[in-house]
Amino acid sequence: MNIQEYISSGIIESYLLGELSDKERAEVELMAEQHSEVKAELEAIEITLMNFAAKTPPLHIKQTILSKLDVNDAKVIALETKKTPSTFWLMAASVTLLIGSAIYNVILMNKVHTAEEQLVVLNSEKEKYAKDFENQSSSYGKMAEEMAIMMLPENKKIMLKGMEAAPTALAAVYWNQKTQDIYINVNSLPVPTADKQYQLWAIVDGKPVDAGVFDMVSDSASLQKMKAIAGAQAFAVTLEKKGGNPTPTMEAMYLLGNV
Amino acid sequence: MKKLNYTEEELVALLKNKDMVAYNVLYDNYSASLYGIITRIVPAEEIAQDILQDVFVKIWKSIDRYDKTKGRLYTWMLNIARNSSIDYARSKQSKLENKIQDIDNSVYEVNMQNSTAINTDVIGVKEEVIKLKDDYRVLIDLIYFKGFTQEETAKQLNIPLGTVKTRVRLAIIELRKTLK
Repeated sequence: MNIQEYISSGIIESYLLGELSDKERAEVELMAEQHSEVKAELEAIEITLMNFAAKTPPLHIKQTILSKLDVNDAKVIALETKKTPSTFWLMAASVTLLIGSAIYNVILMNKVHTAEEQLVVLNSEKEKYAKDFENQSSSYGKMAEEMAIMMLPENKKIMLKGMEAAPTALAAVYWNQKTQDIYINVNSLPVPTADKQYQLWAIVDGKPVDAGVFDMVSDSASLQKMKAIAGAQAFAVTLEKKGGNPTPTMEAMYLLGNV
Repeated sequence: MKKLNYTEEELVALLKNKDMVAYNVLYDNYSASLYGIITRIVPAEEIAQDILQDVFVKIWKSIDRYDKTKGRLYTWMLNIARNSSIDYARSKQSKLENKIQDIDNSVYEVNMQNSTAINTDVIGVKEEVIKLKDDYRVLIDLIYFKGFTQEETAKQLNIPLGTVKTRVRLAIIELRKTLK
């Protein structure tokens, strides 16, 4: 029987209700000693039983009871009790207060300790959020910058469509008509093997001019700046060896778009 | 109500040594619970208060007879409180020549009296048991307030012992939720 089954068997309730034989009782006590879950459950049930029907008696009852006790029995404070009963009560009260305040201190200490632990957790969370925020704002800054480039009126947008090698591939080239700057924004391209890179070509007067190689970037909105070229009639992307080739491999053409 | 501040062993050892501080702690920790039991069985507040006094004097006098291998301190005190209350109720009842009181009626009578009594002298009255389902409430009344064993309860209500045990556990789980 595992601990959970033992706990839910009802034996702890029977124990607290005083219904077990000596042998069974000893067994429960042993279980409680060996398993903290059993002990915790036992104490929780006892407190429930104690509390659910609790009713605070009037305050004066305690004094009446204390006055009825045979205080000669009291080994610790008995002597003083006889001489000056009022001092005895003061002492009893002050000791009770002292114990109360000691207990309260322990409770407060625990609370401070818990609060400190929470503070550490909160601080580390705060740092994490600060970092996240930093990352977010830097990527937002980058996006805003890219947005600005895309929106420039002198930028011409040329859509490059997928060729046979990858019919669903798609990219856009932004070509600044004043500065001739070229940016590429890859929408979709197959991920190349590690030894290969895509290369952008500008077709100027029917001849391909190298516009540089580019990597696949995870952020699909990212613009990559390529070489500036004037007078292109079309743009194409081929898959070449890493670092690029002086002339395009026509069989490995992935994208093409006319200006 | 506070949780115990001493461990039970420490408290018992101090009490057996007739330690007044420990006795004060004992009273502070357990009086409300025991008074709650007593007033369930003997609803008349003044008599219940007398019984509470007797119970605590009895605890002081006979703490040497408490044997921890026979069960928890609370269980022991609960039995003293319950037996004293039941003894009183019986003697009063026999005077009234009501030999056998119908259990079902007495259960509800006790509850009704408690739920309608408004006594400004008494603070912290809890009526959690009222919120329990009837099935559970009858069980708790018999077992906790009347001192029936679970087996006797099963016979009394004519339901299997296993069902009684399960319901007792569920009732306590319910109470735990309410008291949280």
